[in-house]
Amino acid sequence: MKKILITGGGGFLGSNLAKYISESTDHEITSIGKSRELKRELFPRELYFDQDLLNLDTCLFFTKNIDWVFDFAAIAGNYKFLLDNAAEIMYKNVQMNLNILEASRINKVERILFASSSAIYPATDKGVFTEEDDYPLNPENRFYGLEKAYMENLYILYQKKYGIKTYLPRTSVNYGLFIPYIGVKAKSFAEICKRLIEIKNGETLELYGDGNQLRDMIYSEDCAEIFYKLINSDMHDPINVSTGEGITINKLVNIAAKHLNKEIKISYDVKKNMGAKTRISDNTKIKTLLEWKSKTSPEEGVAKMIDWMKSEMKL
Amino acid sequence: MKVLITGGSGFIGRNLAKYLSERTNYEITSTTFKNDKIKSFNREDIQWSIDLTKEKDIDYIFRGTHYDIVFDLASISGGFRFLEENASKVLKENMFMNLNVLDAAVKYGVKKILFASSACVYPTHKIRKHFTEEDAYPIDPENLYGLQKIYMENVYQAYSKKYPIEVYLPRLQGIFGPLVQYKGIKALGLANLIYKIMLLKDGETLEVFGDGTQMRNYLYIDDCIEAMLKLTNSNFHLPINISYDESQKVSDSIRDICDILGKKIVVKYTGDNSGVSYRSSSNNLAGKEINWKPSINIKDAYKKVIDWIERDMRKV
Repeated sequence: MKKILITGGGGFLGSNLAKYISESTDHEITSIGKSRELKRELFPRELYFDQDLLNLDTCLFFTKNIDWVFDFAAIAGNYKFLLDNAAEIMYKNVQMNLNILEASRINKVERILFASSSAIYPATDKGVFTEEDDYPLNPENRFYGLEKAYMENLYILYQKKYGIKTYLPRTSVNYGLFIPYIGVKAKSFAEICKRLIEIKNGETLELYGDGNQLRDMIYSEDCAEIFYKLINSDMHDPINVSTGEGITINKLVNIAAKHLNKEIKISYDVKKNMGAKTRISDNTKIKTLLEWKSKTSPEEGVAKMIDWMKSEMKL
Repeated sequence: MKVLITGGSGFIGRNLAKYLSERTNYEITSTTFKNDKIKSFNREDIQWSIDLTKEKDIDYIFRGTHYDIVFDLASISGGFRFLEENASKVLKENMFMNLNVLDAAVKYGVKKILFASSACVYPTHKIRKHFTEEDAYPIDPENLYGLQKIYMENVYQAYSKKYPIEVYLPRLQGIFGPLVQYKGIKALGLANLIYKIMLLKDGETLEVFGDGTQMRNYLYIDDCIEAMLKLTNSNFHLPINISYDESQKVSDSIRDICDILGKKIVVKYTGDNSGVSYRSSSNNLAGKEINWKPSINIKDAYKKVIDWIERDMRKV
């Protein structure tokens, strides 16, 4: 039995991980997160609300006697939010993440996982990105990508210098239970699904772009399972956590509409630039080294997500 | 005018404080590392010995005084080897210090802030060229020290967009002059080289890393300070190279230094990995935007440093 700390435990990744670990293992979980976000029903051993991770002493307190840390603490949000708040994000995210890493080292935490992101890959039309495509750094959102890249480097240095075992998943876009669907943190696919849930048959759904952009969308429970496999492995370098396949927004919308039994029209705002045509993360490494196979089909995943959203929306 | 200099016990910080207290009536406050006792250049200067990685400590120095300008020169730095061996500490603590100082400056309404960036931001391991400022993108610095600097440049730019603070981002490199560290692990390469040559007798052998063809870009401290002051009086807020336009080949520097000292030594190149092999930066932008060019000839600069090291060695 391990003692596990999850920071950002109320967030999308943190909630899914807490659920996965408490359902499939006997490890003891402590979660730190925002009070309005932390989900009590996930039964972590202990919950702590609104802790100031910008303070090293706080981080030292919470990493004491902990075996494994999952650091998901980050100010996050949609593209516009990230740009508008670049100053805070660059200041606070790196400071929180450094504090957690440093506190973990001081308290001799055995393993630590940091949620990096496929957002560090360049905003080019290369299409499929392997782990070696990180440099030169040219992420679509420079501020966000730079913070992730900087932390990855720090983690690798800590591993070399202090022997703390580090894990650096670069996750592609998640969807699934606990997805944020309103406010600045809302994921764009969740916003589309919310609209789908709300509109009536025959009404029109507006999509940005032509709906044909290919994205690598991983179901959040699968992602949590990979995180857990990863921290049990010897894979200490950055590694893509993804399906390795692209799916179009049109396809996802069709799946969602079908699950909701909705007959809708779609209009496309092609003037809106939706970024690169294709963004897929090569997942050869997790397939070969972690022996992971993509489990949840988009049909199954989207259905579960929509059912969860409906229950949250009290429909 | 109230000035705060962080990194006040460092080479650039000490020179800047000296320069300002000799030529202006500015009120100078500087911070130094804990335990770093240095002599003040002016009786009225204030010095705080504090830990800049601690937000509370920083709050303390900002709370009572309204600074007009902050020079954030605080950085754990050193030669190539030192940076390699202490990378995790350097990357963590420099980041904390630099972020805290900027954030406090904004919080306390400081008007101007300068951050000492570095030519380490350039992809020197990928391309050999006369680097101009935009060559830092896409980001691919040769080492993590450079990654931290470009990270901070971006934080500064994000802050200046959001808050009413004017930022200045000189990219410095190879600054040398009196007060430079010339021995020990934190010694600057060039200063250490001069020191070693000074210790040698005619006919003795000097071992030098690399093959002598490495290109280095040095700048004399007085020129650097003048550039920083011109910059902070300008409206130019983007990163800007502060350097000579010409680089020096390591073997040429050794020859010039030996000529000045009148030494005839044998130079043996070890061929080892010698850190960044190529540094060359254009100072066109500085000429255009802040009307600055280095005024001291590189050989005269060597001479000044040799004189200073001689005096310093006699003191000990």
